[in-house]
Amino acid sequence: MLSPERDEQLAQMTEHRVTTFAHDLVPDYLRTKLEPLAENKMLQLEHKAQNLQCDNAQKQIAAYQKVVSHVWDIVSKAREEWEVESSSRGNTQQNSSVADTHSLVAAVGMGKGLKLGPNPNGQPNPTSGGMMVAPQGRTGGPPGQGQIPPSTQAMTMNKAPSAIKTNIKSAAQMHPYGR
Amino acid sequence: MSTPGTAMDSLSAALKCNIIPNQEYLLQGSVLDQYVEVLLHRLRGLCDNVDSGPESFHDHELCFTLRAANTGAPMVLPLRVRRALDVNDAPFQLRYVGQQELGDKNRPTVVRSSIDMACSSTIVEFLTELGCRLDFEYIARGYMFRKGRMKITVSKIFKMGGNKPGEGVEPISQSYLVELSVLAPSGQDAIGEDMRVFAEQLRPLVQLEKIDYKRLGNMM
Repeated sequence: MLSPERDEQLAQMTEHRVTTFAHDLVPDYLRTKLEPLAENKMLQLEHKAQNLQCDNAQKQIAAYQKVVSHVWDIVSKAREEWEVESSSRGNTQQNSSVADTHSLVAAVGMGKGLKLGPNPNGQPNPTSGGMMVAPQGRTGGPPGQGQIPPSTQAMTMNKAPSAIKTNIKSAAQMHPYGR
Repeated sequence: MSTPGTAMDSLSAALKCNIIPNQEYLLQGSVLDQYVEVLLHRLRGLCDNVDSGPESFHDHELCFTLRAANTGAPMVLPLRVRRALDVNDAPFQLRYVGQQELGDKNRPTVVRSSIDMACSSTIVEFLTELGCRLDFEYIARGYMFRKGRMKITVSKIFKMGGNKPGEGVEPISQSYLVELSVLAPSGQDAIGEDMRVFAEQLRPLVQLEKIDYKRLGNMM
């Protein structure tokens, strides 16, 4: 009778719910009574329920419902908060700004906005730091140099200067030290 | 090792064996001032120096350029000098940073050559005598974190105002600059992947990205 092999007939009979008639499954399939432990428990509970007073039972049900609805409230509140938070994080909260990133990187990398911009009258720029090697040594230098806009200079620093090559060259040629 | 000849030999041998960390792998981003505490808190949790807390720094960086105009094409050689304002006897640092390579989409970070060395305070005079001109300077103040070989800096960049550093400084923007970098010998591209994973952990607080200087130059 018992066999670990697949039994086609059995499968057909049970609409493919049971495919083998094997040792490990049979006790469960053939059980007509509850498990003894469960049966015991059921009996105890039924006994208890029969002995309970009606209004006492009502009271217990009410208390139980109160607890459940309280827990339900807590859970749904938490869920609401969580959803609001996650949706706001998803679209509105901005922690960084692309423009700021670009301006900082350009400043640190190429000195954008930090240049000691030489001004046309040949005076050292009062706002420039001039901390150790201020451009004083080169003051009164070639006016041509002063006319290069700082932004142009900034670009030549790190880029292959193509169109503005001539500017740099002329400035350099007029340089008092010939550099 | 006593004579200069053998020192040169060992340097070239080291170069040949590719053990000198002269490549910098870099990702950059920023965080708005009001969220910097959140970022620092997260970095404290993610990084190695948990016990000691983040290291703070307050540096003055001077960027010099050396131009060689006598040759046909004008060559511009950038050199950076960095000195600590908060530690008096710390050595100055001289640094050369090369052109950045962005590579294709598959490369997770910017790669650029980088050579660092410690030097004394006379480096500024030395560079000036050499014909270098001060191009720009700034103050960087912030925190440094470590995670394995990775270095993370969160710094506020200030424009120099007065004649002395620390006097009349003016912040560049309402954000902190965030940089994630590793110095490694060339060819160790695997580190880029680690950096990408780490950068992912800082999102959406900071978007650490490969930033193309050339495109920034065009935008200005």
